[in-house]
Amino acid sequence: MLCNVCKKNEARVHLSQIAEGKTTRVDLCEFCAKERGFDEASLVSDLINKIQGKEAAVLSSTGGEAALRCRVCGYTQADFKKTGRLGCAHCYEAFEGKLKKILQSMHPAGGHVGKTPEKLKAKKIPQELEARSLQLREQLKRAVKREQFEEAARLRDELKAVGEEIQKLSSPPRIDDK
Amino acid sequence: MPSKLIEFLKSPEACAQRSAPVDNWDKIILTSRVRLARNLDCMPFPGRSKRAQRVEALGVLIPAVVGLLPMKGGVHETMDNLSSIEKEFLVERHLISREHKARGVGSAVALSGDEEVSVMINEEDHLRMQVILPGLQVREAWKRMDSFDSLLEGQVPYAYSSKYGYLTACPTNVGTGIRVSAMLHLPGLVLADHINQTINAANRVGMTVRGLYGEGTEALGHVFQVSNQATLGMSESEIVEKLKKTVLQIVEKEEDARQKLCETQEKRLRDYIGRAYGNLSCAHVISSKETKNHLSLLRLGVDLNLFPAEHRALVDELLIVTEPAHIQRWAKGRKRSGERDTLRATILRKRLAKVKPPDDRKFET
Repeated sequence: MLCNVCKKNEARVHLSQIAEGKTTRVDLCEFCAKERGFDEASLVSDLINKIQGKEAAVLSSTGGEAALRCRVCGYTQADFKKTGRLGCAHCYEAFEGKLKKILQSMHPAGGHVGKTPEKLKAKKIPQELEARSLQLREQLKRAVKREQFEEAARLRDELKAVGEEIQKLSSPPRIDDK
Repeated sequence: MPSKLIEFLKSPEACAQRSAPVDNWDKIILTSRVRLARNLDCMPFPGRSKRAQRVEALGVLIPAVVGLLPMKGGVHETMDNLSSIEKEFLVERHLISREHKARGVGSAVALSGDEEVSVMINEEDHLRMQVILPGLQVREAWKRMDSFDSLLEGQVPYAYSSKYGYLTACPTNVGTGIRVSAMLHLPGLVLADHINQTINAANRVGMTVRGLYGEGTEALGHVFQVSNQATLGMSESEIVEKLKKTVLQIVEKEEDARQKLCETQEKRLRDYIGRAYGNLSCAHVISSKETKNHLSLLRLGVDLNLFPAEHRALVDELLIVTEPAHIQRWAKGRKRSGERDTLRATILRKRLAKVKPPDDRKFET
């Protein structure tokens, strides 16, 4: 198997990340791994993030045996399993994939719809953005039904842009953003 | 030397002197409570924190909490400054949890002047704040808790995500972080043997039914705590309204059970209440559990008009003063279980000496 980065050397370091129930693999040669600062297990998450350009707090170990660890407080999946408690606010991102099912069983109604801290209220998704998203969805459905594919493609792109805007506004504030 | 916090607390008599029940259901609904769980966004949760981190969080939270207007005239204390009896005393007053009793350095409790707001610092979460009001006042309790929380939110940064809401150590509390509960006195449903089906019905609509001191405790004295299970996916107001609706349905069932008992099992009911009075007013050694169960029947006797209405406050006061830590405070020292049982019986005989036996008056439900 070739290295995902240089695509020349044989991959010898295999990393996998589990988030929202999906596993993402990265295979690197020793040189590319070293260049990106991979020297011990605690840096795996940073490496995955660097490679994938993501900031997720999730990491997994090498060699296939997956174990999640919060990169902020160091809490492991085993700690969570043992105590039923999380270590810090970042653990919600770190164990997101595992938490999804647990949260669904505890809180069947879904995501947060309660109180929002006053200082974050300004970031609330504007109603017109949500309304536009709904409208576009309906128009897209109709366009597909009528087989107007050019129009459907245009609507799909606009819906994607609106979706990204909503996503940007609703993404959880990060602790280290402060 | 007792802690200033314990000295500060209201007397049991003052605690029991509630305003007269506004509605008939206030006889059954003892208290309404709203609790919020919150955490600081920049520190590990208390269970993951080292001692120095807990002390640091406490250093941030104590001034922020006690500086708020609703806490003016209140009191606070760190847990390491309280003896085990004093901590138990606070549990008996429902001002701290059993979990918080086990905490020491780096944890604290703060109370408002009227004792309606209490804040546990560094329990399972950095902040566990509650408002307790008499009778059915869940909406009012939420209103007060919400405004207190908004004030505190201006002082300290909370751990929050727009997806999961307020982030808590245990996923069962995440989202709103709210636990709304009502303490209900349900002797009718217990005597009619309908309590289990009522608990099951409450569970089916997403409510939990627990004992007198919350999670994992026994329903002593026929007192049950009904609270919401889910904290995510519903707004705080929706949760409050749902709890209120469920509680009123349980109250209706309790009233029906009492009515039916009076009609079909009059002698049995009079016998239970009469024996409870006899045991309490004549015993020389009595346990806490036995006392609670007999006092519960005495309270039912007041509700059914077998004792004058003014005795309800006396019964409520006795329910507090006969608790183990209250007895030890009264006796000014640590007492073994056997000694406490004798002291408890002495208090009961003395206080019930002026209460006449239940008469043969007609039941009133």
